[in-house]
Amino acid sequence: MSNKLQAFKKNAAALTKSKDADKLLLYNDESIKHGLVLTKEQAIRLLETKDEELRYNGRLEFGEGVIGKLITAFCDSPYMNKQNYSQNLERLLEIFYYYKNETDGQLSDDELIDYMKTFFNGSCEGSLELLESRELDSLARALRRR
Amino acid sequence: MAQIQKRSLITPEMLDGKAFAESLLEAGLETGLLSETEHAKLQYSLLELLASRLEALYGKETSSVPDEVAGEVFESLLYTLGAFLKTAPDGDAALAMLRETDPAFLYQKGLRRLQILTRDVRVLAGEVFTTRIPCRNGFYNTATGKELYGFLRSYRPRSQAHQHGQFVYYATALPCRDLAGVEYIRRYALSLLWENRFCGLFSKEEVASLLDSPEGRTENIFSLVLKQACGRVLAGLSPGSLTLTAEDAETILLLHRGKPERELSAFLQAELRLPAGSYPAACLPAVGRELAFAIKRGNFRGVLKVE
Repeated sequence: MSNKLQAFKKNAAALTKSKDADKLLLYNDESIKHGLVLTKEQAIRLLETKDEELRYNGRLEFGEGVIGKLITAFCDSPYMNKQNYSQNLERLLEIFYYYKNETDGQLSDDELIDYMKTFFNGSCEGSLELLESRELDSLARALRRR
Repeated sequence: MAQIQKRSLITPEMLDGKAFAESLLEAGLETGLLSETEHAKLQYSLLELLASRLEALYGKETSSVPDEVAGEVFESLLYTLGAFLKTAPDGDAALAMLRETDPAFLYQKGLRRLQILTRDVRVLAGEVFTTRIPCRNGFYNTATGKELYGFLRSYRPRSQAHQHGQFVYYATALPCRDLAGVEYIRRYALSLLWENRFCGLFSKEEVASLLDSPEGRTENIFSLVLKQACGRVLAGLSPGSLTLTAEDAETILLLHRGKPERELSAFLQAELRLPAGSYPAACLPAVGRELAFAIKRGNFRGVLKVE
């Protein structure tokens, strides 16, 4: 990352965390219809995971970000439940950013999330391992061959 | 009654022409005009502006971009803000502007300023082209012809405002190290124009004859012409011509051997009567240094053309 950007981000990071967590909790209004709710601690943890994944994958997020889209897409999945909801979201975030890079910007956020949802609820039957190592890997390879 | 003037705490030396906005923030912190908290808040507001710029550029498709892309847009954004902040009368006023004005508004003002500078470059490119010196120096011919127009075609003020490309290979006599982007190109075009106009004061035949050498095909043309004109002055001749004979060279050695470089430059300055602060006047010290070295060495090979 450019040194300038890194320095700015480091100093400003502390100003944002709590505000972002509150925004994330607004998605509970939608997910609660499916019996799924994030606590404030889980929301903060999810944001920390997002920061780690962005850093690890060398990306910068802007706008509303992708967590809300993942919640909206996956909260009605038959494979999501109270016990695995927060952890699964963390794993889905990891997978999303990894394949965002692997597909080299050929898929928009919405397209990638659509593929993830279709595979997760279909051929993977809720397995995040299969989603990552089989389906999305094949998809990324196919896109690279194009 | 003596006038009392407010002195800016942020001095010009604290500010970087290439990275004005960042250096302004640092200078604000250094001088105590900004507290740590205010500094962090300003940085945060600039990151928010970056987010809105990224959204405008890429938001239809994605909510995140690779760091390299974000870094490039951020540099561009800071450069654009800096281009406008530079119009403030001094560093303190520029910092006050940054503190008190919505960064998005400053950014729009910056874009407008870049647009004006780009328009200047377009006009200058035309003038550089029409005043160019006929010669076989390929670097010069490309710089005064295709390159400036190439810059105008490829300049991207909304995503790469700070870039001026890697295509300028012909070095002007006064290198521009403190500017970037369109500000750099504008200064470069202005330098070319000053150099062309100066060379245009001499007869085309004499300039062509001077440039008919290996140096004339690669080096800065204006420097060669200025050196030759200075040689004439040192030989006690009028600088209106560029011809120097072996006898003239002997005269230079006789009159100026042993003179320190500074004295030689002062002599040239006085004889040529170049306006202080003018482009050729700013180039004189380097020319004086080169001529002083040649006089000390006892010959002008590679410095003056002696017939």
